[in-house]
Amino acid sequence: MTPDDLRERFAAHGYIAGDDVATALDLTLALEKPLLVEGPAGVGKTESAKVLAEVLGTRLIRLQCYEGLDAASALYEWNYAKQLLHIRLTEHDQLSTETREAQIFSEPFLLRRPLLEAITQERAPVLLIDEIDRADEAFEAFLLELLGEFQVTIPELGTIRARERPAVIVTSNRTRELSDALRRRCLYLWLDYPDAARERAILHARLPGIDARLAEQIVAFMAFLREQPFQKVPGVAESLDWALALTRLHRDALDERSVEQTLGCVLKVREDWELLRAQRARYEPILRGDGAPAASAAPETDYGLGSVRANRG
Amino acid sequence: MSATLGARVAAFTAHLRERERFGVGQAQTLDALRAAERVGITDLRRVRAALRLVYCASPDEVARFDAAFDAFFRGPRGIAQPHLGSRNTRPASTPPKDGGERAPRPGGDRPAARALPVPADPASSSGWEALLARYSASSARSAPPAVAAQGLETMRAAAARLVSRLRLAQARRWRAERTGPRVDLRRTLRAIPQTGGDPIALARRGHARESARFIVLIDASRSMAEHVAPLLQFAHALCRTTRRAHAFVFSTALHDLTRTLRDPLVPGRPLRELGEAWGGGTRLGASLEAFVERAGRLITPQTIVLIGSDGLDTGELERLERAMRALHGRTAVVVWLHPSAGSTGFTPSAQGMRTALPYVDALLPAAGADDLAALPERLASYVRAPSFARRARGGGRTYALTTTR
Repeated sequence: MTPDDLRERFAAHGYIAGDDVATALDLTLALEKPLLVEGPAGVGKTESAKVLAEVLGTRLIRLQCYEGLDAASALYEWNYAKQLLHIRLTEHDQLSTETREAQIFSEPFLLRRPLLEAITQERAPVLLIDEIDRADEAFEAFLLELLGEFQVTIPELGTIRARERPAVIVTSNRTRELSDALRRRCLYLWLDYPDAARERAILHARLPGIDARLAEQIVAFMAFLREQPFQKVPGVAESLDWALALTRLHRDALDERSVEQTLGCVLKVREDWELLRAQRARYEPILRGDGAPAASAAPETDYGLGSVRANRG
Repeated sequence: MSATLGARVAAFTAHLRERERFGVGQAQTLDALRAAERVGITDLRRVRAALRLVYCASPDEVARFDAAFDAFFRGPRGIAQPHLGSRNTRPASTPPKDGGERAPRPGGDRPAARALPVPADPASSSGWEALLARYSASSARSAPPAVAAQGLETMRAAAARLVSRLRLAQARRWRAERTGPRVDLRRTLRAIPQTGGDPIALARRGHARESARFIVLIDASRSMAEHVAPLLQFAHALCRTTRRAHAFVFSTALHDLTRTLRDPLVPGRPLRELGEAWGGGTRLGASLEAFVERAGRLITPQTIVLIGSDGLDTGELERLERAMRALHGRTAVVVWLHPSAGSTGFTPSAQGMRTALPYVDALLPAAGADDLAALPERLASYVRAPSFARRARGGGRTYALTTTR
């Protein structure tokens, strides 16, 4: 599969991947290295892993990281309660200690957590390690070990080696600096907000019935919003929410009133609302449809917003 | 053909490591070759995209990569070609250009990787000098500051005290503790098989204490020239003490100095990378705003912000106020270190200072190394003051600081 094939198949699943994303995923599969994806919130980091699993037709195994996540909840744990119950139930059987031990430390008593699950699959799954920045640094070191060898040693059972190396995608929201060791072990993709053409394509792919003019206005408005010094800059997820809300309200174009009504889909901090209201003069051209160019115009040019975008050659 | 490609990619790795200070090595060279093979080497844009994935490890590196790649592989003359033949013959221990300023380290680790880039061809060296000349002509920037090696031990001790004495309140997360308030059922159960099926020892758990994150923002404008050195030294000490410390320097632009200051070899070396973040006028508001915007991920309720500045701002006060409000609202504590806050008769009268003051929790002196060495104790006594308790209560979330003795 070349990057272009991959992109087409992603598009068929409603994910419009840029050149960078397609190349990154392709190389992850080819080089069998984990891919570390960073970027602002809501640009499709997690989604890319989900769609990759769909495209490859394999399982997606997801490990959501959180503060305090430890090996027991990420890798494996013995089912102590079940072991105990088993001991009590077989108390009067005349079993030797060895047999009993072999019984309670066997696969049925093992609780597989996502990481162990991922390396014991028949077919290579997609392993999504989501928001690794939320986990502690100690966990990061533990993960590093696993990602290096793809094998786990369980003292009672022996070493389990991955039959098929899973495709690993690690995402981070940069709330904490990741260690250099982890970064160097991975391919690194910085996923930024999409350009206007790609965002328009995403809107059309996800909401096939959307009015072309509305999509155009939303894209232009979002581009404007992302240039403002907001506390929470809206991502693609917000664009989609907003577009969905507007179509539900049967609006075929943005106007002052619909912006007021639905602003909560896009801006989620009160100070940001105030900041936007103070900028009304600057976004009015978008609502009138003056600045927004026709869909056929070259995508990476001035959007009538007073800023010229450099062509990302 | 492939041998040439291999050599060129290896030279590119060396170029990134030595000139651009990427932390890359042979592993990346091999990956880069595999990646280039995978995407095919006919389309240079695609090769660039593939190598970017391999070589970069942070957004900052991503931003610099394309220019480096273009300059190397398709620049007018290609700056790397001289390296091709000479790279291996250059002794690894070539002293850096500024070797006199730094104490030589006999058998030091990785001298080649640490060395300042030595301009190899005339084109780039004249460009560099032209750049320096431009700086000094336009804004009278003097030589860039350096982290002083003298008195570093005192600073390290102060930084260590600051980190260990100031703790945040308890985290919600539970962790194993010998004498925690609750019984840890899972660990107790796990221990049962060892004692033959009967629970004998109860395992306990308690709350972890969260450690604070420190951010030092240093104003390095002309008016602060005399006071920057101790602040830089303190920032270096703090960055060496904990990974949860970050340092930024600003004048007319903001520069993230964290990585540099974590380097144990940095004392004595002029910090050329500061560029416009050094010795110009002060755009306090714009710089702090840039910080809030760019480093938003560092601004958490566990963050302690230390701003070292005299509050002389030539920019818009409205932006300063907005940035300060964001910092105050989203962090644990905002401390302002003012060079003359300790002198008698000091009133915070500068416009920028007056604007910022409502959002500052503690205004502490930072005239010299002594003031900074005393910072942990001063901050600790401030934390015990009633005014701080008020803020901690009023803040809704109680990420109050506590001090440990």
